Amino acid sequence: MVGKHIGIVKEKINLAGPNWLIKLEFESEIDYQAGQYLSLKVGDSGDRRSYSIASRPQGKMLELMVDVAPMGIGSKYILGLKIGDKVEALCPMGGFVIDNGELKGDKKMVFVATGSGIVPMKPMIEDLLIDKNYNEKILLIWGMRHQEELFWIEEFRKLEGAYANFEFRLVLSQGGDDWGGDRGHVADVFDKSYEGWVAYICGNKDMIAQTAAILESTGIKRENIHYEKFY
Amino acid sequence: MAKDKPNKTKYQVKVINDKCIGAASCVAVAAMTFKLNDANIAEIIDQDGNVDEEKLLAAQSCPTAAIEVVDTTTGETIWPK
Repeated sequence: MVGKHIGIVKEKINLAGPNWLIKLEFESEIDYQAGQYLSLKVGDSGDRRSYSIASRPQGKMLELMVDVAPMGIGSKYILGLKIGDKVEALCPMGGFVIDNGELKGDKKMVFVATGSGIVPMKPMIEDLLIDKNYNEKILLIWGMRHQEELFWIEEFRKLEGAYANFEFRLVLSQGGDDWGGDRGHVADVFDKSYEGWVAYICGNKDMIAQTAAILESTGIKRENIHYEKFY
Repeated sequence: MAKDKPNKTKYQVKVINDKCIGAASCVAVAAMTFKLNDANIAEIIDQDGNVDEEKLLAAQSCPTAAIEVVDTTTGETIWPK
């Protein structure tokens, strides 16, 4: 059930470029599902900003990963946070979570993210692999622009090494000359039939519409395509 | 989050459909006032479903500022500011 929770900033780490990881500790465990978000109070006049939770449920600790590039009121609040500061979070919120029916049905899953759309997906995938011992195929496709803004690559590669059913594909739209991986957009990666799979998409409105249409054309039923719009 | 249903509230809420992305934060905070319709857009089910404080918090927690709050006693728009 959603409620107000007071957390304390325990760590603040610059992952890469404008991407900041904030580790919060709460007085008690917060009951949420991987993929959900919280609403953080970012000003005294009632302003709040929504941030996906970057960690899977693990006791009193909770992580946020915030892209401060927009430099609005939320970005400035995040940048101004210091270790020991208190924050007020309204949570849990959102329905972008793994569908229980699909979990029981042992479906193959494809996760498609661009930019910070990766944030809710990391805990969803970790929860599936580590906590739920999900054995079916899980494919993650993440689209970014430049190498300089990459983060969590090592974490995903480690998961790939530890779990044979997990595959991670990184696509750069503006990779430099030294980039040896996939180039282009996430939509360029769908090169086979995904009939019978389920999909989770997170990105901006246009990316979601485009990706959902392509995935549907590869055989995924519309009702098995779930998405979270970032804006 | 919902407490007992209030008799009559002074804040009137309105959903701006074009801005709503179906994040459902309003439903999470004030479930007796808002619901998502079949198109995944927030809809008002009862202006007096939640107390004013919850209705305002629902508007403040909307990621796209798709909810307007008007104080019917003054006519003033309380949110967004």
